[in-house]
Amino acid sequence: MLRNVVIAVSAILTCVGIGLIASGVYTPGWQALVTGVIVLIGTLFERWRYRRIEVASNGRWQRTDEQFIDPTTGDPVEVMFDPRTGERRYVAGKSRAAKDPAP
Amino acid sequence: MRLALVARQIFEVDSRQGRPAQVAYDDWLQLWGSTVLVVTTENVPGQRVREVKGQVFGVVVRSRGLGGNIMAGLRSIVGGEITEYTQLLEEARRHAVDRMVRNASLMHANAIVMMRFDSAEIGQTMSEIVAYGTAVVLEPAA
Repeated sequence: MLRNVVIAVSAILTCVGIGLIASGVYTPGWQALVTGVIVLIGTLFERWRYRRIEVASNGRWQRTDEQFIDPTTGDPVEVMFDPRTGERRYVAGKSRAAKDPAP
Repeated sequence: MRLALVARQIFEVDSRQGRPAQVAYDDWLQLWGSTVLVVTTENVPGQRVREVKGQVFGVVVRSRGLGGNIMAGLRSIVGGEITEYTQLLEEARRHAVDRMVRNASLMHANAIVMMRFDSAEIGQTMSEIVAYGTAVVLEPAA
């Protein structure tokens, strides 16, 4: 939501800058255009994610006991491990209730 | 091919340390296919430390982009959780632990004991996370 607002404001700022330059108001126009473009690119192409939570993993991955709640989504995440490379992978976990149903 | 190369390297190192090749091969088979256990305690119940491989660590410096910092700044006006920076630290934690485990795996350890996190700030917008511990080889206690 907030991201969309920032994108919208920066897009408007970019358009205003272009409009000002087109109408002959150069200094404020360039300022608005450059600011708008920088914020727009910085928001659209932000690389904040390290590794996506995967849906499932193939056979060479071993399940570990490590689990946690992803603070972004609130969903459980399980950690898989590849003993050949030492690489870890994060997959969407099932809730404890789903895995261990009550008798 | 790569598997055989790794095994040969392990056996050569072990034979230089005076360990019989067969023992080294058994160790390798035991370690192969096991996950790297990461604990914050010194001891693991039911296990004993057979070999200490040394310190192991994972370091990462991460930052949010301009958009994330702007959103976090706007969010801090009204207070509450700054989800952009929560995401940043969570991703940094995973990244650092992954690097630490990979380093431990490189050292042929099957566990990391006394694992700790350390954090610092670089340039006000970058977060540094260090995960460190002691890489060991655990075996079931007799």
